[in-house]
Amino acid sequence: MHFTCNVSKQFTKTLMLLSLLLQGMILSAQTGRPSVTGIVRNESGEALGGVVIKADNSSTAFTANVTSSEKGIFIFSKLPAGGPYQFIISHVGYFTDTLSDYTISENNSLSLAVVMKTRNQELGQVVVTALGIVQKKAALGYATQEVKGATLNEARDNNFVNSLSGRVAGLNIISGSGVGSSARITIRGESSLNYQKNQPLIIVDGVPVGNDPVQNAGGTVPDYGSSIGEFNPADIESVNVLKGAAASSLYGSRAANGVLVITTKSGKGRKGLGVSYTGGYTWENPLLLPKFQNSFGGGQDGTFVGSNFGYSNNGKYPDGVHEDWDESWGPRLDGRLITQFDSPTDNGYRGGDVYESNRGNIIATPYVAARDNMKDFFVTGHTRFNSVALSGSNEVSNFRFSYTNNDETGIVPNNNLSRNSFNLKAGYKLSSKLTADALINYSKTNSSSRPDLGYGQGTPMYEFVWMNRNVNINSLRRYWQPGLEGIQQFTQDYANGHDNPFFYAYENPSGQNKDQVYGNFKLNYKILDNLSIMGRVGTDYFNDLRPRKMAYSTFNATKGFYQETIFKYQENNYDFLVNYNNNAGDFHYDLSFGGNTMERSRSNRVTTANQLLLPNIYSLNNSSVALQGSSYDERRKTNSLYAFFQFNYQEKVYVNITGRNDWSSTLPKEHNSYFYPSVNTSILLNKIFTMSPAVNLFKVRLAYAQAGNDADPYQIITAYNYQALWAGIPSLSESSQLNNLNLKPEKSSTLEAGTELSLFNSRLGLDLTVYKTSSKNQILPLQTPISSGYGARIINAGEISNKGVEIQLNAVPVRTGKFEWSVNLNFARNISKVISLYPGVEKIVQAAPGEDATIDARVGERMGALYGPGFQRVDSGSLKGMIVIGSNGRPQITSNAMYLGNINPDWTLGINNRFTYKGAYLEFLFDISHGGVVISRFINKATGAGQLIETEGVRLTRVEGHVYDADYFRDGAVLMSDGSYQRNLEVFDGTYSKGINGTGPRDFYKRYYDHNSEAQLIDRSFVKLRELKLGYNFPKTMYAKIPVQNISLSFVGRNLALWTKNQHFDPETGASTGGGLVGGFENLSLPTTRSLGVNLSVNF
Amino acid sequence: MKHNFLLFGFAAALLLSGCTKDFENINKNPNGAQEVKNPQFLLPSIIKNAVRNYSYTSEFTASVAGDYYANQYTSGFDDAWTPSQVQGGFLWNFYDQLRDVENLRILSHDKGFKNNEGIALVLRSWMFQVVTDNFGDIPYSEALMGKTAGIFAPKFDRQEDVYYALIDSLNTANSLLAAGQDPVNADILMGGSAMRWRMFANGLRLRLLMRISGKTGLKIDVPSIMGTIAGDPTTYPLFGSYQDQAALSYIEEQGNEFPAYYNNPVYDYHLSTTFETNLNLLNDPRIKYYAQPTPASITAGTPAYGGVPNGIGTAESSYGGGTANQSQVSPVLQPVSAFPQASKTAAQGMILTYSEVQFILAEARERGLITTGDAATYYLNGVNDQFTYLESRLDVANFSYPKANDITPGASYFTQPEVAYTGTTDEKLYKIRIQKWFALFYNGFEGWSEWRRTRVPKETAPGPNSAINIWPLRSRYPLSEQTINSQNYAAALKVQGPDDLVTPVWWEKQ
Repeated sequence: MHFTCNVSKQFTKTLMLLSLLLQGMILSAQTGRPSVTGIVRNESGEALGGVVIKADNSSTAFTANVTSSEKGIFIFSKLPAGGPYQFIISHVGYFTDTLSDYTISENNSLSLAVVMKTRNQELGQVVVTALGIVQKKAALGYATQEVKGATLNEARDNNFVNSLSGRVAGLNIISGSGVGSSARITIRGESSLNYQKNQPLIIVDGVPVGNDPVQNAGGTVPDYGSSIGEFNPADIESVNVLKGAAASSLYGSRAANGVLVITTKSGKGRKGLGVSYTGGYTWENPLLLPKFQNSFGGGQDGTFVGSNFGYSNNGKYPDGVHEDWDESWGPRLDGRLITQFDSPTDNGYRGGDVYESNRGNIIATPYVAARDNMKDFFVTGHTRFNSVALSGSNEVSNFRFSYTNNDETGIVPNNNLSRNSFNLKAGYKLSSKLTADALINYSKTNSSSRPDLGYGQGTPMYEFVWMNRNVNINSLRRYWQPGLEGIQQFTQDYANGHDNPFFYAYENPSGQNKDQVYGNFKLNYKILDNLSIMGRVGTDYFNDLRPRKMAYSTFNATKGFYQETIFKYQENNYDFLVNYNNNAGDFHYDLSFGGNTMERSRSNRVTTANQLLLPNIYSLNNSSVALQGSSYDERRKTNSLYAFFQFNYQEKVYVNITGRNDWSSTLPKEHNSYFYPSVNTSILLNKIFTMSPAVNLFKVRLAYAQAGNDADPYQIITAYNYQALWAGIPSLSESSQLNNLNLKPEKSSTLEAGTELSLFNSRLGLDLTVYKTSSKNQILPLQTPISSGYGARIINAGEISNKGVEIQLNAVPVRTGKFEWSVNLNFARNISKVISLYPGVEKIVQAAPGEDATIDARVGERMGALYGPGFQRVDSGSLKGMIVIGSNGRPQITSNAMYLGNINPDWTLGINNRFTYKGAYLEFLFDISHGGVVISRFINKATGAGQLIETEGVRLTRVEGHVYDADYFRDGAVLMSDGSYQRNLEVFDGTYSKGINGTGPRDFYKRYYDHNSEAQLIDRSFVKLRELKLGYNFPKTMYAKIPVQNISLSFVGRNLALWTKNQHFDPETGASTGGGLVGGFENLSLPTTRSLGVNLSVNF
Repeated sequence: MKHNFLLFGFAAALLLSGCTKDFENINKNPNGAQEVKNPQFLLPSIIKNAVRNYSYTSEFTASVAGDYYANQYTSGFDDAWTPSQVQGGFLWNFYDQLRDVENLRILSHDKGFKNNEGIALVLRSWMFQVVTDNFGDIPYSEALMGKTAGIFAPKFDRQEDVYYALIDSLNTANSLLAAGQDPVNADILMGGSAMRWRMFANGLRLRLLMRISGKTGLKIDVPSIMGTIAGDPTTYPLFGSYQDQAALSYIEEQGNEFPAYYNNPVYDYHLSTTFETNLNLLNDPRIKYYAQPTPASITAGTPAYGGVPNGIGTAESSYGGGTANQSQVSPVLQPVSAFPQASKTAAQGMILTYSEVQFILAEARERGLITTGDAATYYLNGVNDQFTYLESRLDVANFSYPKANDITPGASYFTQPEVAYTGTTDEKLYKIRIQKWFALFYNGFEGWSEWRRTRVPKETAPGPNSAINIWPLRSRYPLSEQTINSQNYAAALKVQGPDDLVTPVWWEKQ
């Protein structure tokens, strides 16, 4: 009833507004007073008071100024007739608008309607900072950068975090693979030696939400995403990135790596009931697939190997049938007829139906390349989302409710995910002094399967490493052996444990069923006009059930497998904050103090049936062996008190001082209390000194801050872990990690300076920041030689320093009445350096998700240094620098790890261009990353297995039939018996056929890459066309008669083009590990996807 | 009113900051025990983890190092022998299990539990013996002291000193176990019998003494100690048959079965030609236990065996006419994925066998190191018991082929010149040693160590695809010691020689 009422009111209002607008457009000439009147509103239709309107007659140089009233009305009661006049409308926080070419005659009056557009990077801009406090950006003494929700929603990514890439200087994203996967965020590089503790804190409307991916234990597990990736971009008003400790010092411990403050949309300012709908559809395809060779098939040294696809059925099927060798070092794919796994048999079966006792004789089929195997395996991914939001407000209350349905299918068959999210945000003014606000968000995520990732049986890319070029993947689509459906898979190779990829995708799913709720409730009591107290409780909770199924005949689980893993997580926050502000002369000050209690618990329960009694029934009851179970529980609590003091002098100089003390449960009693302060200042030079009117803003800022951090739970006392029973006998084994009774809190400090400059009516803006961060006493496990009895011990270690520069440049090179071109540039360069580690310790291995290479932190070096074995090289003489070839024709590998490069880019640059013409816009974002290296395991393994295109050319230089007869010779140097070096390759014609020490073609490639990290490097530099958007806001004239406020339609694309040096992989990838994504390693990740889609948005 | 609110705020603040009382409780780890007060809670996992670990390498790296099996990756002496691989592949990770052994030793010692302390010493000595034999000089006197003494970079001790210390500590173990009154609970290896642990201790001591018996200039008198042990069975009891020996029986439980049972097929391991040659020379029926008939011979219905030489690289797969003519690993070591009849319990985790001890005594008697007993008797005890033992395992396995009686030797087996205890001392020693090498199959790296000591079997030699031109004499140190114990590592190399595969360990050096 109430709503209906408001809708009709709204409708009337809309009509009124429309009529006003129409009047403005027509600029109707009327008889009456010789004056100009008008109304100024913002984009949401609210009247704007205090707007300065300047009338300027360019022929007479006459000018006059008026200011709009509270209701947005302005009146020039007397303007001299003539012209041409232009009206310049300017207001803090809004783009200046100019209306030109008006002539005023004695008997005409002019009526103008102006809609002012909000500016993003502007003086009047307010930002949401720590604890949800809204501050004028001008008052901040540190760098922040905001991304509007609209930007994220226009070109949606299934994880909105990915949409931040290239839009914020200093923010780096590594994306996982597969639908719903996680994304790793770092701000200003790595400051923690603990590789997985470098991500920022994420706050949604005051409540922390985790981005730490929670992954199953094990080797090749899927990426199950993280809570923040489930956030619905349609509900986001803005994301504000607080980059350094100064910005985040009030969040305490967890914010040392920066904070993403997400503010969700509310119903505030929306009179009556509004309904908005956003929907979209996106298609996804692989952006770049590895290039394979198509000249040689399965086998070894040019001959077919093996018998009957590796399964003789107790001798029933004898020799003479090929393919149990999973590398393409076989004969030329010349179309000869051979018996293959997918060849028909005279009994109507397939050659590979080896479990069928009446399979019969195989009828040979042509031996040819299956060129498009990988392309044929992947499918087009689809994303469909629909989001409806209702919002409204009146004098005492406001609310916004949204429902979003998201359905996605990935490029791996059977990989899908659906999510339903409900979000309610409401505010109520209980009295003139007491207001209440509440937010609740519930989302349910279901996925029937997420793909396994990494190097191991069953992951899609692993199977492609070992899939011979003559194996036609389309023949594997019927993946059961006839008569043994549900019991025995059909595959091309039973000897080497290669699961049929379709069988694996459809029958061995890793599902997920996750419920997440977060929300908060806040009361604010205004004791006096300048004294208020706020209390808030918030929670973030999820329950994540992950059923894992494996069918009978899976090579790793011949009798099937079923596992249920349940993760639970809950974090509760209780806050209060008292605020007092007042003026003292020209000083305005603001004094607050508050407190917080944070409780967090997480747990997991894993129950496993290692063998199933009956096939194809996935229930823990259907176990033929005793169920195995394990559990993990963790709790922690932090209490904090903080205070901050802000003052400004005539809004020209701002100073902010904060202090916070934390008490943490995870530290030993003597060290569990720690204090950290911050101070920063912002000086508006343009207000202090007289400057050219072209200068809209010239601000300098300076900040110093400290942040403390605690440990993970249970790192004080070393535990004895419970071991699996042996015939009912229990036992314990001490943890290999020695804990530390004397842990101290971590401490980081940041010094940053910056300047903001805005010129020419804000058409040119520059924001420059330099910073230096030092982080000390880091808590981490230090590897110790196992001969000490322990593999690691927990220590307080070292010092890492980060230095960097961030530059943001905004420009509007062209702005006419209808056309505008704006450019945003985000540049960042960060160098993290290891100052010290621990007495006597030179290096710490941070991560090693590949084969041999490690990411090391070494004293005096930059963080992210990659080390591993490489080529031995000649160190002097005329062949200096050449790789050394051993007597077996293989490059010699160094026994010690050598420096290979850095996984981090040297610099990043995002360039966004936006063109608008009337209601249409075109926007494209380039993401440029320069420098850095990545180790590719796929390239290493698939080259060694003779699958990639690199292994084709050399073999083709030999006469057919003699490809494998004689050795191939690598270029390099050979140590002769007299101690001199001689060049190994003697004839440089590309055939590698004459030299000193040679080897067969397999070794020629395999031994070049295998266990040689240097050979596996690819350049990480790339340029990506990250986003392209083409949109149109339909003019209201087109639907003036229906109660619709606006309609916009856009076509969007993400990751549309990639320029990089290697032809196989997008180097912007990370290895998925149990602890999260690790950069610098391609560990058989899925190809990056390119997406194209369409979005529709309608507001009623 | 407003003052009330301010007061409320301050009260809340005080409440918050004062609330650290529950912190200790919150930070108490519910996932593990904070301390262990009873040896029986440590012993089972020590035995299980160490023996499973040992068994696993026995089938793979050790079977190639001992030249029982051929595998193209391991016998190139690069892949599996790189410093990043040897921690697990060559049992440097025994230090992981030794942590719990040390906890058991200290706990038992502090509580006066002599039996349990003795057991800890036996297990400790066994594991250190395996590690020093594989690597040479190792951290010993300062090892395992991370928690107790804050030593996180232990120095390496010379192998000679490690040997003296182990021989001594096994003597202590025997005495402790003789005097102990404390119950031995949860003993999944020796069934709680202190006597069997003493037999283990004394047999192990003989193994150590035999291994260094060829050295000159020793600081201990090897013949004298060996003689004392062999001559005083009351003080120094020894195994009476395979039923006493130190071998862990796996059980029919997930995670406690034969360790490779759930592995992928091991199609790239085959019977080595060295093993095949020596078994066939004796017409030894145990070949049916040690390997599977070739696939082609199974098809033909006439089981036959075919070996593959080590060190021929990828030529392995076409050797002898292809994999159809090559014997795969023993049926008792087969995973169920390749061999549907595979057994979870037939293979045992063998540590020290009755046969090995008898062969040690035979050699000692033959060389005059001891004077008690008869060399031929010791030798035949060793050979006979080995057959009986393997037959008993086949009874457990209950395969359709081979059955226990398929490997029972005929009388002619013992009378043939290659087996009968006849000939010169060198010939007799060769017979003892080749039978001992057979018996050490699937017993960790002992077969390799014995080859290093005796060069039996004589056929063991590197192949054309090997990275080095002699058969390896030791394993390289793991990467972790190179990089995070670098000073002690460097010091060790100065004493022992280069960290490569061809530097002999101390007891082999002449």
